[in-house]
Amino acid sequence: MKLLSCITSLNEIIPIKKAGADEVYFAYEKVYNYGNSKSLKNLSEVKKAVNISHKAGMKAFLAANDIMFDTQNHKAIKEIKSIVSMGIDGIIVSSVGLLLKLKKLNIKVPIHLSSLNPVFNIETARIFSKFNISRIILPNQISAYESKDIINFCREKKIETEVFYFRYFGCPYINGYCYLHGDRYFDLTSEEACLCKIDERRNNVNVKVLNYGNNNSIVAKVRKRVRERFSKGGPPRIMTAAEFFDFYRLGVTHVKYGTRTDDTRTKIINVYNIKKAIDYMMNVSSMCDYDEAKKRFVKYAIGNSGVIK
Amino acid sequence: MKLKGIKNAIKLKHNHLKSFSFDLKDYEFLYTGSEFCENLLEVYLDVIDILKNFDNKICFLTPPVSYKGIELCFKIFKWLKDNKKNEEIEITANDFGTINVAREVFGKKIKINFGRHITKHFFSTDKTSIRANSLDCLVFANKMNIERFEISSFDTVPSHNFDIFKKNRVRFFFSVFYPYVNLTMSRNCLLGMPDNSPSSTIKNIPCSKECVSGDYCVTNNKTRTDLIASENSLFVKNTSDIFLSWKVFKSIRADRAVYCPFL
Repeated sequence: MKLLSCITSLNEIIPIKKAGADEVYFAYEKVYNYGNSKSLKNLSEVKKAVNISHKAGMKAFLAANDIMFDTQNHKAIKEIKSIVSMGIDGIIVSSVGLLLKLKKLNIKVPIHLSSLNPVFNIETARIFSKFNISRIILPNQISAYESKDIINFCREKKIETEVFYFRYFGCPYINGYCYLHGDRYFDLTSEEACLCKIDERRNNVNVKVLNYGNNNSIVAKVRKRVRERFSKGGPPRIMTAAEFFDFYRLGVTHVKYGTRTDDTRTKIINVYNIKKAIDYMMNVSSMCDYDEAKKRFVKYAIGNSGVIK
Repeated sequence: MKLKGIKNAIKLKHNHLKSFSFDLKDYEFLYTGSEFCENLLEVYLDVIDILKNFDNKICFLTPPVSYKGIELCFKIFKWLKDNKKNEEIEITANDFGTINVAREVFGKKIKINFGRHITKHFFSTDKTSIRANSLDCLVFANKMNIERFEISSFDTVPSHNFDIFKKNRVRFFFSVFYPYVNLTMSRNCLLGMPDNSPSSTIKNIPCSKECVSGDYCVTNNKTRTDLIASENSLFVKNTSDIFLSWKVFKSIRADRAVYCPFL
């Protein structure tokens, strides 16, 4: 399993390589990308990022993964063409418009289908496999078991697969289509308020029942659960240490660390921890049977303090 | 509730299909199905024979689906094909994969709409505006033979960017759901799925369908607006009726209103 890490500045590339990354990706501010946060500023930086990565023996990818990618913005398309000519190894895309545009313009570059355009089933994988997709990034809202057919399909079609590491990314909502970011439809009480990371206190949340059904004991139980979950950051996560292990055993080829908003030190520590976890997982898998290896990995992954020794 | 000058539809959930006593003759379409949650497709499959009792055209709503939902959609579509005429049915897809299943069962001519969840890939909306994300997105939809997009309602007469398509032959129309606006959804939900530990793995989302017993209004100190948790999704209620006129509908190419009395 190879490790792909985000970078947000040139001086992160070599330390992240040393921490264990096999590949890097970055965003560039003139090409629409999810969240539009922490991007490289100009084409000269992009070129340097590609060159430094290649010299270090790593592939480099560009995140062009905004669902709302405006393909009529000729400047953004021109920038992509320039970056392709610099030797970028692939582009991370979610918008079907951009997929179509790249095909129409005959821009030949491997494409990673972003988890923001989530593939939850083999039929969706089939549709997008017609777009020069070299990798499908599985959303973290699907379990390993549910992904089995997709992973097998990808293997047959020689399409790589990628998952997020369970500790560092955990949005429970289908994040590409989520309107909890910002205040599109509701008024926030302050500029800092954010529903995406709720982190509320229970006494700041009240839950009333609407449209009663006919089972009061269930309603009371669910009401309590909604209050608890809304206070603590939303629905439970599917991606756990055990799920991550299963993805590995099913043959997922890549794992991503993609928290671009983390500072450099945090990024390096996290990449190092993921690399160690992959090595451990491979090691126990070669020594023990499936159940024992999984048990040991879960214990290792949860017990990991997150500090470089 | 019915709007003058445009086609009207009503969305009913499984429990209301069983008990609903209103006269539906004012509504051309009956919208039903599980718009956001694949686990609830099972519930609709269980009661699907009830649809024989309705003369309205049926628009069957489908959610994002894993392999499990694909199988359920296949069974539901088979029932619809065997019991209704193609021209009496529309399918709403909130997952690209469902389109393949629908085409396989019904053939190429079945009308497929993009649902409120996946429409966000093609159009961005907020309280006061709607914007097409790109011309190429709509070309992609049209290539899949899809022209109808489902959206939630607005607080006002929305601004739009549709003028940019004047010279391009892309086709799109809207069905507008009111009065509730869908904000987000998750496969594992606020209401139903039990908590899971780091060592747990799942075959499917473990769901005991507790959500069918009620919807929940959430007040909190981060938003001035109450949120509504229903099934696996979060909504807000749009209390403005400025948008609800045929003239305003026409201004954004909306020609169908879908009244959702029960979310």
